[in-house]
Amino acid sequence: MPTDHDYLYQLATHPDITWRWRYRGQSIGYDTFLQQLWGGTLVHFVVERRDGGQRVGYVQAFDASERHGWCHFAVMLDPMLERSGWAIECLALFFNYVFTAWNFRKLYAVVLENNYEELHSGAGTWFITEGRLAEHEWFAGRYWDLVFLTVRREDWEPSGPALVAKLTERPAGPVRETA
Amino acid sequence: MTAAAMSIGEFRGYLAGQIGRAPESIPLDAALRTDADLDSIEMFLLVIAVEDLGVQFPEELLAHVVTLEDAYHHYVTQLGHR
Repeated sequence: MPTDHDYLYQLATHPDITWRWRYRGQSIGYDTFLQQLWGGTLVHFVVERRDGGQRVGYVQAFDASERHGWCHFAVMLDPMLERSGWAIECLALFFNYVFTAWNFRKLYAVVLENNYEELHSGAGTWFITEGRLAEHEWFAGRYWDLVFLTVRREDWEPSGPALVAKLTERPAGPVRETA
Repeated sequence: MTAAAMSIGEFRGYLAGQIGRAPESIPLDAALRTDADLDSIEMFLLVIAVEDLGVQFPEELLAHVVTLEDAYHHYVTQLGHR
């Protein structure tokens, strides 16, 4: 919704987030941000706390190819919630939504090597690592690898829906559609 | 506390198993995110595993659970209130 735009702009340009979101630290005007918020977007949600509805993040599916059966996804969460596990909870709900609504085979995420460390324990179970561009991006005094992660439907379906059912048995839903 | 409550050692063993780690890799007094180096997926699985024991893990409490001892304290407190 338009009432979310200011929040999303502040989140995307937050000093702790901007370098790993698509802007990679570059200044971005508000109008340009709003245009890009919708550019290539398949579906996106603002993430909210169940207890009180406070906004805590954003999740997006974009650059979809329905012909080939894949799309990309990304998530940004309030920096205060880093390593709290909340990103994984909202992604589980989001994967379930996307795999239910579209017949995708694969959901891709592209993350910087240091951001990958936040997720590395899930390699082989939650996702597979399909590719790596060595020393691809410059940040903070060195070059970092860019890692391509894939969540495959065949890996998601045996356990993902049951996990989501467990999560949604808790009080109220944590996400709502934006715009 | 109820008679069914795990000991803290059992609690650690159970959680370590649920997130695929050796119990020794999660010292009771180590900060889970920084010292024990649990990543986002492991933190998520840890919360789910505690809730599978029949206790709720409210969102506002998550920020205050720093160590495994904190999680165990929450677990036995919640069991005692059931």
